Amino acid sequence: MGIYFIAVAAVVAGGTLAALLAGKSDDSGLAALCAVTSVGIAAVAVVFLSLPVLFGGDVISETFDLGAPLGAVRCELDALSAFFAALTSITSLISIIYITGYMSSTQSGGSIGFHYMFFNLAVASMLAALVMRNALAFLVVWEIMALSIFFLIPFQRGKVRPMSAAIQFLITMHVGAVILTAAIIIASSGTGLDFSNFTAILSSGSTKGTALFVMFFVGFAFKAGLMPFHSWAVHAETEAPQGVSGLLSGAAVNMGFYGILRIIALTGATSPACGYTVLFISMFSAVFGILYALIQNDLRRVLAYSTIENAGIIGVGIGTGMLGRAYNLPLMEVLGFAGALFHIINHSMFKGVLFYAVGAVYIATGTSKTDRLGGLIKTMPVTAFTFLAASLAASALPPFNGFISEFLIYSGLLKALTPSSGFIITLGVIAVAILALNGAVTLAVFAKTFGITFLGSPRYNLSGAEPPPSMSMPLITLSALCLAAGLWPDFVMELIQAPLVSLGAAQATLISESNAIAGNVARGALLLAAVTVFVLFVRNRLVRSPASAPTWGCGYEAVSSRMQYTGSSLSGPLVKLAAPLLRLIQKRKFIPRAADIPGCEPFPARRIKYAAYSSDLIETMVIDKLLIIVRAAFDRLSWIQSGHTGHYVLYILAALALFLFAAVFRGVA
Amino acid sequence: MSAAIVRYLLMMAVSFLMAGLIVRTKAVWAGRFGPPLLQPFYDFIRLLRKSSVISRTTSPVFAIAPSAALAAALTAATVVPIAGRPALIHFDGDFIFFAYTLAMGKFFTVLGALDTGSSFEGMGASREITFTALIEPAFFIIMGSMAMLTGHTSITGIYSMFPATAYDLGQGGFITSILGAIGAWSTSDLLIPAICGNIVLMMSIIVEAARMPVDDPTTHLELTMVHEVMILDSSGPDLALINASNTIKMTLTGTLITGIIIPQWVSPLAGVVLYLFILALIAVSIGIFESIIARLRMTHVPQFILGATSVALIVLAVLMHGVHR
Repeated sequence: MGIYFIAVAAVVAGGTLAALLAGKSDDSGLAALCAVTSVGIAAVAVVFLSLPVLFGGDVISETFDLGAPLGAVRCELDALSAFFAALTSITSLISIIYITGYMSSTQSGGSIGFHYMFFNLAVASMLAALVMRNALAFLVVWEIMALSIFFLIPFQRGKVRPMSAAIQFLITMHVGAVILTAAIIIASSGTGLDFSNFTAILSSGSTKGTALFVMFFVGFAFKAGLMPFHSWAVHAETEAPQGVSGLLSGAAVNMGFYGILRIIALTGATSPACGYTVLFISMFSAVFGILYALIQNDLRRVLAYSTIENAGIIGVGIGTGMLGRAYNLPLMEVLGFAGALFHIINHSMFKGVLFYAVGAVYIATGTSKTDRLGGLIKTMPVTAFTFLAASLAASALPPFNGFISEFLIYSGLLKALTPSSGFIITLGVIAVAILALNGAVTLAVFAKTFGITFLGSPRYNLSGAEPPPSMSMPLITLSALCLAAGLWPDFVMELIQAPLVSLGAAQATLISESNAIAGNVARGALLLAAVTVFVLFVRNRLVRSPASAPTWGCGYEAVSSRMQYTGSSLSGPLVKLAAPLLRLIQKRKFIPRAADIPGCEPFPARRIKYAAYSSDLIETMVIDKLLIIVRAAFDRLSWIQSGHTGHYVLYILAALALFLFAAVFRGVA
Repeated sequence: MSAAIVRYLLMMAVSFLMAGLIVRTKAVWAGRFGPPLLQPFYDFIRLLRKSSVISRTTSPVFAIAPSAALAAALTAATVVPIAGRPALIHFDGDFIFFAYTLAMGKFFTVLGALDTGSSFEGMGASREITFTALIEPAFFIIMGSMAMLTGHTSITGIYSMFPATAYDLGQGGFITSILGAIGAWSTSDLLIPAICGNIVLMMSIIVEAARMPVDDPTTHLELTMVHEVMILDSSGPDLALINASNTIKMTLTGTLITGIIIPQWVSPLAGVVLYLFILALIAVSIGIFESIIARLRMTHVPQFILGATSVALIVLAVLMHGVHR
């Protein structure tokens, strides 16, 4: 355990040193080296500590006595923690390598040194949170994580939208933290702050236990970005620098899932109600996340909503696992949890590629609006093809990794065969249909995103160059991993075995059965890849020296690149069908003017200004309405803030007196 | 295994015939003689030999797309049971693999269309992704429900559980067996899912293979096309691969329908004969259907496709009822 904390301390030290170095000199190269090296060392250390835990079944545990108020703080690296720690450290390392390239390519306007410092602090706090078994210490580290990410989001000073996104992030995280704190207070009252004390009440099966589980779930769901607690993710991932968005989506969101899975591990036997809660919220996220992604025309917003959708898929896996446990269907349980864990890895990988590629596009062209781009594959082939690979993975298409994890979740849902409840069987099929709908819309989203951005010809003559190696290497590495994990998932299945055991979904026969299910479908994916390569080979033999001509304009001669289908027009028909669910606002404004444009005779001479907005249903219908109520309530209480110093002294005295009485009263009782 | 390979190749061969038969049916209905039944195959060979013209706007993605589409159709075909016998390969959940593999081909077809930068092809791509999103859940509800009812998650496994299996030809002659099979079907939990499954699959042939009333394969106006417009810039071998993949996809769905109908107790030879017969029946009915019906307005197509979803929802209701009984 000591090595683990030395690694965590190294990350903090490296970040601080980077901040000092960047402050001293104009050259930020040394600071970058410092930040990368420290995260690199920590990643190596954490992975080496995690491997024996994941493959050997060890558990590293140590208790530190930190005195009041924390008391004895137990730290433990079990399989679940090791899984997330290894993933977090690797994702962070790739992210910081990318950030160094991103920061050297982009116009600065913020302090790079502080950026590295808070990045490292965020990584360190995530790593620390994963091993804390003392609830209070966990909350403290959890808070440091939220604060350091808060400072990461607004990189460029003086910009309003990143700052408001950061503030929204902070507020949302605190709402989550308040719920978590309340849950921890309830769970630890009368027992103790150590996590192991929570098991008794969580597994009691009583209403209190279920309510407590739901509280923990909601608290962590804020971090995981599940709808309806997702609002921060949309704004923060859109406005933050792309490297940070990669970290948010690839590591911070995972922390939420770590929390949910940790509670499940503590709970043991779950009640069906808990499973249904998780499953329903997740299905909602999966469908609405991707529908909102469909209507976005900003690459970063598409990816942000895609994060919510993927969080939904992971949640569906977790819900499947929980229901499997609740209804005593062990194979369903193992497949659900295995699919969720597998998808967590996958999502970190492909979403990293997607965010980093968008960052490269943004640096090259200065925009991330799909409808202003086009044809980038010719000038940025590496970025384009890695984005294509990640799009395939994100759309869960074989032979990429996203397919294997979704296949596991599907398989789990189809094992919902129990004579005890007909509801769960029907629900299984409904969830399968929801996943299918999600898959089809995801295909539409990524065909649109990739096709409009990278294919065709440039719409506004925006074309850029390939990013530097520090930015393209993460892209290549991660997309190669996406393909490898899709063709040979056996290693990943081995990797998630120990976490499955620590979740309580043990039994060797079931795990080998789920491995066989993943292995079979991976052979199928391998066959698909082989057949594709073969057909392509034959095709290339047949197509020799093709003639080159302009795209056929169906008889129209003066085709311009502005006439290409845009992202909005591509998704138009589907969006129109889903419009009642999405609150799409369209505005058309006709600007009449004389026909003074020469040569436009066949076309109407007046100009039409068209704008379409989508408002997030949860934001407008729930959060905004809630805020109005909260604001009104606080307005009523505004008399407390009188502005007289005397009053405030009185408040302090009153509060002290209240606590004194409370203490005395408790002592008497 | 070798028999399965023969059946697989048979399906590939039959796919061209099926396309030819549809064209012939429509011709006969219109009072013409029509092209030979093997015309689609002759076209395939002819296109393979031709040189191709490739748009300057395109990237390597355009070159990959037709091959990926054909590879997807060929791979998806390996998990489809043919003529009442197990598929070439089968494993748990292979119907999901089937759907996602075809989706992969579709993804590349859409990208290939967008790669040309043509607004017409973009329009086709837009319609394709819309219709896919609408038809996909219906297929999963049908297959998912059947998987739940039979306890098997591979297409071969699901089909092996149909009630007709229990009736052996030896028990008392052909007619008795047929009657027995019908009797077994009529009391089976699987009856309504199988009927609804056939309806949904039939509708999905129409959608996926771009038939009337969703899409008119013979139209000459780009604005009304779906599939044809996505391949405006494909020529030579690429066009051959695309056409072949569409024909195979249509036959795959047709084969899934035959699989629900053909009883498992027939001898291999009789199975093949029945298979060809039902497939021909499907082709002829598509041809007649196309001859007597007009193409729907593009804005009405989603309603037609959602009809498939509502049929699938019947199955869901049956499932709920069945397990509560």
